[in-house]
Amino acid sequence: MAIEQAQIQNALVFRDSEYPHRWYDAIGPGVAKYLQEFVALPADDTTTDPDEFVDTVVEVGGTSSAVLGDVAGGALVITCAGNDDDGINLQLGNANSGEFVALTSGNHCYFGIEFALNDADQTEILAGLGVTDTTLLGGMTDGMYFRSLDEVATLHFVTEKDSLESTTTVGTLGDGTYTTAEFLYDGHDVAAYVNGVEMVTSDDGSSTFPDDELLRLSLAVLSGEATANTCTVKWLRVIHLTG
Amino acid sequence: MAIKTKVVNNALVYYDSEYTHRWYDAFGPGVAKHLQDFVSMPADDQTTDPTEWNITVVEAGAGVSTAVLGDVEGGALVITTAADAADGWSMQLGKAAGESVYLQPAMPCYVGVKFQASDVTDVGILVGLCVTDTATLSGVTDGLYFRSANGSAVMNLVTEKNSVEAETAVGTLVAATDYTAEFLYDGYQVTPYLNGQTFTATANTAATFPSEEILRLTVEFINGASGVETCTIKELRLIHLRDL
Repeated sequence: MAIEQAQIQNALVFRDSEYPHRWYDAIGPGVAKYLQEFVALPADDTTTDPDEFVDTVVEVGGTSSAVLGDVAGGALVITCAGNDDDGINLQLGNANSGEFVALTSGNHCYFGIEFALNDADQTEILAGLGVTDTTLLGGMTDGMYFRSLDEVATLHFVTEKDSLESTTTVGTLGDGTYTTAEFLYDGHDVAAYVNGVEMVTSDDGSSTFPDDELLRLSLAVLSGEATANTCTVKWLRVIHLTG
Repeated sequence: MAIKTKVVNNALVYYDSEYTHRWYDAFGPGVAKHLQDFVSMPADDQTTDPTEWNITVVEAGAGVSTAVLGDVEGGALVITTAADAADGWSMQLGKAAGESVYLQPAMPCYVGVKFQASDVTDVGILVGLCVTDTATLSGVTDGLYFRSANGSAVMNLVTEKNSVEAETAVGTLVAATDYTAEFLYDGYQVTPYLNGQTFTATANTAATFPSEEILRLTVEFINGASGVETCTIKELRLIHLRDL
């Protein structure tokens, strides 16, 4: 593969030649992006919590944390405390604001994450875009995201509007196995990919397509048992092009 | 329009094909930059204050002055003043120290900001490059910046050296309206732009050109009357190419 450049919406997009849905960066007018390979991460010097995110921590059974790990290429390691439903809910931005993604006709948006769970069917994960919500896995009103719930290792792609959601099975997670989950909204349709394979497409005319709320980058991990389960995130990207 | 590239001072500059003064990014030796679309911003988890900036807050009136991310498509920083005249927010990139821009010959520099204010007459706005100063709208010794002073909606590009300044009017602001204000120093002269329109350039030989002090990225928004006012900044870019 190589990196190719494409002019999209007046911006210059850097994407993968083999997987052209995979955007690495973009430069130009209307570009809003958050690119993280977790080599560095602004963090509070007292709590070590990430400073760029709103952190909602559940840690009945000890301490839940989200810190850089000793991982080649960099990683964020989320460790749940030792009780069932302990974990961390992260949303990019401030406590009550930070929504910046509008999945409206003409805009484009790429989201991608590479992650691994130590115990896939005893850990819940949600990664993608959501409205402001401190308990994303407890149910949100509007969003577009990947989700795997407790007691199953199935990964779903979810589109949700006004608390009405549509789910599509896009894969099965393995313990300690890295999965790349991505979606690309091209201004009309969204396509979801797992490990480079297109799994589902949905058009923005769907009743569950979240087109009337601004969304924000969201990541939540909760343990599904009384064990300190972990999620390791190697990279996380969102690139939004305003029309 | 499209994004083009060119080599400037051994660096690769990404710029706008239609507005060729508009730089989006640069890579290479001697590049110093701060590019903000305000999708994210390191902030103190207790105060929510931006942690990459040296902040001076004035909040004598009701409420507090804040600078936090907003719920705005594409991202934005929203500065909100407390409710008294002279309440507001001053921020300079860095901490107690942080001057990084040296406007010497052959050291190009681009600054661009896209912003709007809730009121343009009864507020003071300053965006650009200044020496370290916690109250730049009250007077700074050296700088190169856009300023709309309290009592007027006119925006000027100001060049200032040793407390002697020269102004170039670039437009009259309207409340709640987005403006893109930019200047490009090409190593010989600085040219201001408002919404892509070009205004009179100032040579680096001018008496007011700030050529002997290192400057830092500066944003200040101060209320000129009682009542809460806001300034929403959608983009802020500084790209400085040092001579290597």
